[in-house]
Amino acid sequence: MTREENYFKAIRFDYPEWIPISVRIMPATWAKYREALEEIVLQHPVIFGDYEKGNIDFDGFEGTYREGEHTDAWGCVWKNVSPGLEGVVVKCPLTRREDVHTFQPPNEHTGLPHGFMFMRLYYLRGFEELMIDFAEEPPELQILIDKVLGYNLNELDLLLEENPALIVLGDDLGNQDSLPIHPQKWIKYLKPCYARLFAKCHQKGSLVYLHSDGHILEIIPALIECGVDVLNPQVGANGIDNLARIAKGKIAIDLDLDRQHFPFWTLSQIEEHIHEAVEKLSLPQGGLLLIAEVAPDVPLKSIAAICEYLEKYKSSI
Amino acid sequence: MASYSELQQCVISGDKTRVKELTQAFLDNGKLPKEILDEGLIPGMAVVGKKFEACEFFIPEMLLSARALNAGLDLLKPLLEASDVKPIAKVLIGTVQGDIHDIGKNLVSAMLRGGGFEVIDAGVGVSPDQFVELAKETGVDIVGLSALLTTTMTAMKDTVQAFESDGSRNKIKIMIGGAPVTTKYAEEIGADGYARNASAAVEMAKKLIGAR
Ligand code: B12
Repeated sequence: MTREENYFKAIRFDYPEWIPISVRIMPATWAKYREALEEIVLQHPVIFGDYEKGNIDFDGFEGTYREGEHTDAWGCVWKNVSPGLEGVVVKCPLTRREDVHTFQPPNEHTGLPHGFMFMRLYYLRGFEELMIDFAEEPPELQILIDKVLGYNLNELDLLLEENPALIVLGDDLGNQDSLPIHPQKWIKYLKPCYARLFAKCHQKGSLVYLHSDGHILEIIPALIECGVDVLNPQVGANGIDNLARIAKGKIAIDLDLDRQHFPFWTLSQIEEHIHEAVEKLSLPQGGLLLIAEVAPDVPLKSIAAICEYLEKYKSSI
Repeated sequence: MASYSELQQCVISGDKTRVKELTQAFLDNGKLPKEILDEGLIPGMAVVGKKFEACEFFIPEMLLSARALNAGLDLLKPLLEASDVKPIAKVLIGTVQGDIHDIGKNLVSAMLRGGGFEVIDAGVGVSPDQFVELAKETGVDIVGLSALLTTTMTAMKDTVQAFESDGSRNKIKIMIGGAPVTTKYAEEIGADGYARNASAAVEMAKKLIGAR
């Protein structure tokens, strides 16, 4: 069975042969470890496929990962203080509520990048202004949501023209230990957006993968109702037991292993973590995938161990 | 005449207009600015903090209350200054070097202001030397450090050390916070306190001032 076939078996609960595993290396991590990291990558073709020496430009940062300021198609100005990591929006085009009325989404196509829906709202309004909108619920809140959603639906149509088997989306919906807004407000304003987007994917026969940082336990049932097929939640902010209780067997989970601990854990703690995730979330019919993103503060030997243990436990299905 | 509990209630419900009206009414009736602050505005915000801890309030409600409180504070501030009433303490707060997350830091600032502190915001990506310089310039009592990344937590340690090397460490208290930070880490790096959220940050700041 190919990796791809096995991946789809896992997300469709169709008895994969192994647990799909992946390791994402942040650009800043490449820039720090360079050839030494490349050695590890070359030793793990099961994870990194047919990567060849020299495939990556260690310092080749793109877009908002580059130092300095950068204005995106929506008019949001980004600033980056640490090249190789993401920047932050420092100038929002719609700081006054009334600006929402005349605002037009971009004419150009930007796809559905990370932060396409909820985060885009605060990139446009500013986080605090958006939160005040959620508190006061003026008509402009819905108008803004509709404009962003309208743009996203169009972009999605374009992406779906290629008939992809899977649409991969990312939007950080949670904080470390709660949602930013009340779950009921999330259900009122945001659930309909994701429901419409995901329904469109399903109509075209594409499955939906959604990444979200942060604590999202209270809205996982709503996300399931929206039609998400694969959820990529942060383990630390949600807890393995909670994820098992709420989502196991209902949707596939591509578990974002604990990046907030990787830099500090011993190798055996890393092994225990991966073992625990497999033990508590895996089912013979599938539904579990594992992903580890490594930041530049994860020691090289820990990166190597993450790869080794992922390979070791991927067969314990 | 309205009661302080009504003023507290308006802070809790985030009714900016009413908070302003009531604060003005208390002033017109000869109440002392300090009393309006201590009996009305601050206790109202303390309830907001508790509701936030209990997940009854989320960020929108907390910020709405903070804005309502500010509407009252704007009227009181010039009067408090004129009568030489000092804030509880001055806090310098910033996100450490290499880190751009500012949502949590801004919430902590809002709650500290609501708790009667004067807050000076140093922004994001603040280097250890900048913290030391700013703390000196502004003469703060507490320095608050925020870090949301494991990669930037180490800059907290560097900042504590910069205060040590400068010889000004004993003039200030340092409190830290952010998603990956813990009490244990605060102890390890020699900070004076850690708080897990904006409402706990107010309690911690008060404790640190009390311990001075
Ligand atoms: C929103 C967000 C972003 C936004 C930030 C927008 C902004 N203006 O701040 C954007 C998209 C820009 C972003 C960027 C990045 N992010 Co980010 N981000 C988050 C997210 C989802 C929420 C953080 C947040 O705002 N929470 C809301 C506030 C209210 O909570 P808070 O910050 O925790 O603050 C509270 C307490 O911590 C405390 N507190 C905070 N500061 C202080 C200070 C003091 C003195 C005290 C007492 C208390 C205190 O009180 C606050 C209020 O209650 C978290 C997820 C998470 N689990 O936290 C990831 C997260 C923090 N990000 C993460 C990462 C990796 C990044 C990037 C490196 C990603 C990248 N691809 O490059 C970049 C960072 C670049 C840089 N140089 O800093 C990781 C960090 C992992 C790690 N190794 O530590 C997290 C944990 C997500 C994850 N999947 O693991 N991010």
